[in-house]
Amino acid sequence: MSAVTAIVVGRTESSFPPSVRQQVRATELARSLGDIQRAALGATTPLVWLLGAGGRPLDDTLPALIEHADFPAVSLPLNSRGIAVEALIGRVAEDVDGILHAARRQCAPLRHAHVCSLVLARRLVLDLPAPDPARFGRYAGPEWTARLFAHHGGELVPASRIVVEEWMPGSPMHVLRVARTSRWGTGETIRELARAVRPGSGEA
Amino acid sequence: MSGDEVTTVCAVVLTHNRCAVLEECLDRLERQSRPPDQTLVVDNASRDGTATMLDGRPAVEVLRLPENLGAAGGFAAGIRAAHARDTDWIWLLDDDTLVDETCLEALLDGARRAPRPASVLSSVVRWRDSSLHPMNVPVLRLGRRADFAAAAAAGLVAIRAASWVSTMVRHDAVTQHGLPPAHYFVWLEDIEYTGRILREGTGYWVPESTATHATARPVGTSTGSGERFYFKARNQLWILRGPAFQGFERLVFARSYLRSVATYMTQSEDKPEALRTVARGVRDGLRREPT
Repeated sequence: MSAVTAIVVGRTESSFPPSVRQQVRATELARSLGDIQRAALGATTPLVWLLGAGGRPLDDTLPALIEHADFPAVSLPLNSRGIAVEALIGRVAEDVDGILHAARRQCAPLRHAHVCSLVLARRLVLDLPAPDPARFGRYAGPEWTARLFAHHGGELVPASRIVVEEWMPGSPMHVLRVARTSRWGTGETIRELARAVRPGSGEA
Repeated sequence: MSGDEVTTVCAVVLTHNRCAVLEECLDRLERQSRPPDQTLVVDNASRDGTATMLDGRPAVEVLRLPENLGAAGGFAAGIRAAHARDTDWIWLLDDDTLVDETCLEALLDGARRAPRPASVLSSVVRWRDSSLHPMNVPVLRLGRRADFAAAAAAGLVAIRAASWVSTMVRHDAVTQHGLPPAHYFVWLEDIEYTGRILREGTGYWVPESTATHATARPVGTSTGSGERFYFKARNQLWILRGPAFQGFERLVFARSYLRSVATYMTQSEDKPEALRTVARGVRDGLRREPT
């Protein structure tokens, strides 16, 4: 059992993944991403594990994140067929030295990510203004993690895998809002707009 | 690709009038923890005593070209010759590439642990001050996030194109894609070639494989290049018009082209001459490539 509090987002007590309780010291529920600060206030452990709605952890999900928890650590999202959901992976940070350094640790630095499975210090959740789903919809996670990673780093840990529900595209309006707020590049914005307007599996 | 004991490597070193640094390059190849199985020096018509020095190294094969064909022509000749030797990998190096002791061993280890069979593997190349050499940072494959993640899981970085400086190309990739564009003479023929291979193929940057590129200054092709910028202005247009990059990648490449021209113009002291250089390059880049 890890010294971690799981903050399960967008679920009820009855739909909690049973494996989660066995791995963590405590659990909290957050109605949405906008509620994670309230949930983190109720936690007493130094680390929290944000589990997005619909995420089903595997045996390696939490241990691999804890091993890399000197930065906010993000799991690799897979669909039910075990294929990486590209649309949810997040954007790699274009810091070449950082990429090399992270690769030596079997990780990749991120600029932002959707919140499917993320371990970070509890104080970071409390210090940073909360995500805003009302304004950014499904992109509230990328917007919030962009702010988080800009100051504290963030890494994709491919050894940590989380099975997610079918990917659903978000609103183009939310994409444009995040793009402006988070200063996305043109290519990134176009790519996310294309995902938002074109139905697909979210796979590569 | 099975274990290292059955993997063979031919190192191809291109040289032109840099005898002293070539000697150091060859010394370092000999001292590799896992030396190449064959070493081929392509001598681009050197006139500085390189031939005499190489005569004193019987373990090194030499391909002497009657005239200087530039990096593009030299490496095309070298790759053709190495391909005929049928080694699994062709390891490409400029004569001022000073590889660290485990450089090749690390590249081969990268090949073994890669999540997909690699067509191209490249070393991390730094300048003398240990900063990443701006001429040798590969084009990273950031757009394919799942592939990037899979590479990271193996301790590798997915790449889209690489320079000649300590880069291995697989034998069957040469069989499939042919040779680099010899008519480029110099600059960007490596990006065109590896970009063409990696359009569908897989390439990786191997963090543990390291080398120093001992150039006089740690600058890219847009800085202090003088009239040689003509080749960049021309060749990059040929790349844009060719098959190596497609779709959105072309837009990104085009933007990089415009930025490099702007940098060159800004940093040139003789602006009219710089403009003429760019104009000639653009003019020739818009013409049909020689076949």
